[in-house]
Amino acid sequence: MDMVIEVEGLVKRFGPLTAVDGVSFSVRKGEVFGIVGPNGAGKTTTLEIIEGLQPASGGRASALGMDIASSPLGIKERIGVQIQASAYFDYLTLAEILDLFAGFYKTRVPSRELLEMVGLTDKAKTVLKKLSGGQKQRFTVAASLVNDPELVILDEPSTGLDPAARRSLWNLIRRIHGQNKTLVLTTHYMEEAQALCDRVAIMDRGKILALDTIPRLIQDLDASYRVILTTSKPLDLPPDGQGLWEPDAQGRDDPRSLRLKVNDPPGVLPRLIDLAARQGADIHDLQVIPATLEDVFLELTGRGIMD
Amino acid sequence: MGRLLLANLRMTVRDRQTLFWALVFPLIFVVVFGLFDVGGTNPVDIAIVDLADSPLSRNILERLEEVELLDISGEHDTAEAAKLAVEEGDLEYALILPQELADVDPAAGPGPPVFLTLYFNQANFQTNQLIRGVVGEFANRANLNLAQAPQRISVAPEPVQSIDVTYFDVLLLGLVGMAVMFNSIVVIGVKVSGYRQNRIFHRILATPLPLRNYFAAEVVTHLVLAMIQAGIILAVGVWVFGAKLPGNALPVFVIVALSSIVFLNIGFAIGGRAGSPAAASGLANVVAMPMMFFSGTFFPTANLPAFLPELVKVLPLTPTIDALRAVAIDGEPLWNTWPQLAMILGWIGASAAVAAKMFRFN
Repeated sequence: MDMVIEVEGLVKRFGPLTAVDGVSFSVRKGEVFGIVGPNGAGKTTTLEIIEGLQPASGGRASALGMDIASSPLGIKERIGVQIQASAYFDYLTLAEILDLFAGFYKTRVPSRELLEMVGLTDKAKTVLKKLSGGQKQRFTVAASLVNDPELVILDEPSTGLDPAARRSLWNLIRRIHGQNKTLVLTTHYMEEAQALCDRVAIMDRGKILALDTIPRLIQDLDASYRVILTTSKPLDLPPDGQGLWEPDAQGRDDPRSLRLKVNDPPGVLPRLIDLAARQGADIHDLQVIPATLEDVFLELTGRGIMD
Repeated sequence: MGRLLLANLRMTVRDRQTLFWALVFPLIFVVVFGLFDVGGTNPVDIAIVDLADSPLSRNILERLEEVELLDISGEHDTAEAAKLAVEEGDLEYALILPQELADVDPAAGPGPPVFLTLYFNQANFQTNQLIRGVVGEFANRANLNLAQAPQRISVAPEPVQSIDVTYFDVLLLGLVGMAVMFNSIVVIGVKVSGYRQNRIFHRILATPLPLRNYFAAEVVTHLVLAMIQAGIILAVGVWVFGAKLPGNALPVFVIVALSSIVFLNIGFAIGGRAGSPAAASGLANVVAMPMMFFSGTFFPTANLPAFLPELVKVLPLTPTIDALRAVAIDGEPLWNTWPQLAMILGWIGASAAVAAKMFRFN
């Protein structure tokens, strides 16, 4: 299988701090690859090494078959990059910015086409600061496509957006994926990774803790379902859970609401209902939900991604 | 490269703040100094109170009236009234010809000294020396006449400079140097620190564009701006306020371009290190303001105390303004300013090295 990015034992140190600590992964041609993790996990630094913006302190990284350290220009020519929290020129219109940046590449996509794709055709002659947050973000995605790149790298594309703007951005990312491009994106929104990514690497404190498709990451959990049981009074559960359930670290706020990690819901639910009846508690609510990427992260790190 | 240049020029024209610094700010100085006519000496208001009313005092009065510099009024009757008018600022000077003057008899030989009193306001420091000199000269001449001594020595004034250089002409070239300096240091400093803060440099670095192309486009844009700026200042100075500059325009623009590179480098150094555009603006002003005053934009600096004149000579704005004045006012050929040009070239090298060392993308 064609690999678009290959990273091997990548290390980046800033003085005493090791921001990227021996990271290895590969991105396959045509997939949407996500790097998820909390702020400060080393996601952006990893991407910036691949983009040729920072030299690595150790390890190897290559993209599109070229070594990044030795041929940064060749790689830059063929990838598209959206940089986290990066702005553009204040006094140029959207069309002017796109045309200017397209001019830096050998392959150029007309600004009209790009603006049409991100739904900003009517804003072609507007300056960036007059756009809404969602429009700005869609514009920076458009700006990453000026050279019709094979590989598009988006760093936290939806940070700071409201839910509607985020959905619209997701649709845009899916459309880009539909044009046979490989995408790499970072996010600290688990549902975003779940909505968009074929495979994700879970990154924390400079290391990749797990890397797989999302269904498989969830399957690999000890328990791939969560049961939330809300009763009229707190239940007294047997401590061992008889091997059927385990209390979940999440959701301890209300003693009348139990959150359990469960592998076999059909086997567990009758027992729980029976237990509640015997202890004289009314069941107010009973939910069975599949485990999410958030649960995977919790399992791997012992804390929530937003903590 | 061409696109980048065009885009840069476009941005500059649309950026009102840049335009203000580049064009309006120095023009304000030109207009202010042009309107106030700081170069010429305006007549001063002086009241002469003739308490003697003798042939001698009337003779002094008549001769003083011939002096163009003095605008004589005789509406004050007493010495006290005239003194009060000076104290209250209604009058700049009052000269009292005392009653004793009537007793001076040329035929009677030496007698007791007679004092003419000159009241003046110390705030008028620019003209005080002059007026005291003029009045003193009259007193001396009156003395000589009384002694009936022939006037053997006198001054025949003959201006040696072929052209009439006014303070405004000199100032105008100082303003050109100042404007180019401010435009380059402040505008580039603020712009570059803003680009760093907004990670625009990162975005450019992520493209195949060599960063030196970006810097080259930035430098060329600002050189063009500096030329336009110098042209406008000189045009307004010459055509609106009548400055007389016999020199050739071309050497002026060469000097403007070279010195502009020095100031751009300083701007890059400041913008490449300052934490925010506001910090860069402050820092740029800290660097530019003292140079504006110490490099002789507004007044000569030879009389500064201690080591300052030596220090001032090596500031980059000093050779810039000196060379500009030499070619524009004295009409000297460009190569005659080689000591200044050599110093500017040295500054280009030194400031580029500092900028390269100071610059941080993050």
